[in-house]
Amino acid sequence: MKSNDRQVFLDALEQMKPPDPSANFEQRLHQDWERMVLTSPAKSTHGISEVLTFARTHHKLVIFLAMMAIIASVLLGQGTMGSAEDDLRHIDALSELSLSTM
Amino acid sequence: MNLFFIGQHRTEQALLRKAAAGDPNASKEVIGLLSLPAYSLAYRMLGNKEDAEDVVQEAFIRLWKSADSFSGKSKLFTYFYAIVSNLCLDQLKSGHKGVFEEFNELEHGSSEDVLLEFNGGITAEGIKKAMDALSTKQRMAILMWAYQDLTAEQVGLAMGMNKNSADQLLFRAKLKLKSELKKGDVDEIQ
Repeated sequence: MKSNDRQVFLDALEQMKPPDPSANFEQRLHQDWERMVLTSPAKSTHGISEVLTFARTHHKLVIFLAMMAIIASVLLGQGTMGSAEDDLRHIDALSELSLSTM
Repeated sequence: MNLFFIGQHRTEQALLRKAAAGDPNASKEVIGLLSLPAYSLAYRMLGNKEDAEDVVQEAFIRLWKSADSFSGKSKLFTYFYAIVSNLCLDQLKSGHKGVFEEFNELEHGSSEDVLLEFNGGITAEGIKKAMDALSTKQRMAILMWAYQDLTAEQVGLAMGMNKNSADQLLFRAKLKLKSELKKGDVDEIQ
């Protein structure tokens, strides 16, 4: 009932049309946006700002990419450590072989 | 809250953030979506085209600055209307010193006791005349109540008065509106 009361009043108000705004009204709003957002001194204009803009608007994707990067680096690190251990084993085997031939 | 509305609010949140981050298409969309309804609200509150345009311009500047604060829990309209209403209030306070300070309790009752129901159609002239008959405070309170879906307590908070005073103000605004519409023989209200 309460919200219906409100809606009835809003419907009535809709009939009271205000005069059209000035012809350049929306243009002024766009100019303000450009001044505020695009040419704001706090914003850098080089490539890093585009990356930051992307990060702010697609934060879920950025989190996903960061997770993938961490997992990839862990796997790569494990692989590198594994191959180093293999190399050491080879060196040990070679040195044992050379000792035995002596 | 309905999942559809949550999704819609999130879309609006993403759109606003894109605009504030420098996306020109998003900014065009936000301006196209909000500018005219906000102008109508400001005009109804201030009654002057130039003042209404200035207030909406200032409101957009605040919107771009505070884009990160919009949590997407409410409609973007509601969030923006709050900014516009507050700026209108500031404008009225600065232009009409004392208007918001005095408060005389002439009638006693709750705003919820008065229902605005119209039996037939209502003309634009009739509602304009009735709205013009309200005091600045009454017009402000009833528009905030209607457009922003605010309770008497929230209206009071925005206008710097306690809940009872705001409730009385809304009560008297509704009564006055009804009597003006009856007086003008514009419509029958139950």
